[in-house]
Amino acid sequence: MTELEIREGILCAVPSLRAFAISLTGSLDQADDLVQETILRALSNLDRFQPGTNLQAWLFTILRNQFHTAYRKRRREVEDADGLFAARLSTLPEQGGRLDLEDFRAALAQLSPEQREALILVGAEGFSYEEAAEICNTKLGTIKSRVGRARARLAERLGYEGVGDIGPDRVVQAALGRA
Amino acid sequence: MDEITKPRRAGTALRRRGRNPDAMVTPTVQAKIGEALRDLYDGMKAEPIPDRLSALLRQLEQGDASAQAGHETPPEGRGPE
Repeated sequence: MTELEIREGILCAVPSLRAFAISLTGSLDQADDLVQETILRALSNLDRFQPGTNLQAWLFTILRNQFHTAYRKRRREVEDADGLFAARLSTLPEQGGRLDLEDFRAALAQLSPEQREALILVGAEGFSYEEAAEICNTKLGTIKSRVGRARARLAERLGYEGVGDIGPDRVVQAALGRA
Repeated sequence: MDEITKPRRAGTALRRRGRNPDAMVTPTVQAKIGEALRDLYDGMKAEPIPDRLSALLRQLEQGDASAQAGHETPPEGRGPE
């Protein structure tokens, strides 16, 4: 992978990096700061990127580390950081004002930061569990359980049917020969 | 296995799942959540890019952003810190 290709890869990743940053910070302004820092940091550490590995995952890892460094600093000053986040996330600009989406956003804001992050990486961005575990610097099983709990909680809060009813799952799994 | 076939009450279900690291939802519910999640995420991706960020992106496109990012070899005595 040439430097030019990496640059192009970074450019392509910007919308995703911003979306992830917004979901972490709950603020457009802070998200853009975070993306800017991430790009600059990536560019000055290009030699550390291992060709053949996932560039997007590498960038997400940098962004997440940047966020947590800043977040830990802030947390000493702001007691109710999570509550603050929830309030912010639910006041982000509306997207067409679809009621079901607004409900969904509110439910997402109520998840723990770890669960929300894991669900977004896997469920929205489409990273594998393995990649998400690497990005979050945690174990595969931890990510799987965070995603599972996040989904269960959302389903519960949104009143989606079929939660806890694992009958169909078992049928599917049997059909797939995994039961 | 008895527990999961009992009639469901929201409160107990929530508590039960809170303890269960392998909490599962059905494929249908999972798909529904995935769809809403991607809708929301696509909206975040499409947020307009502010000037300060687009300036950096233009530099990146033109290939000279590393000049601005070049913290590796700061001029002598003029490091970023």
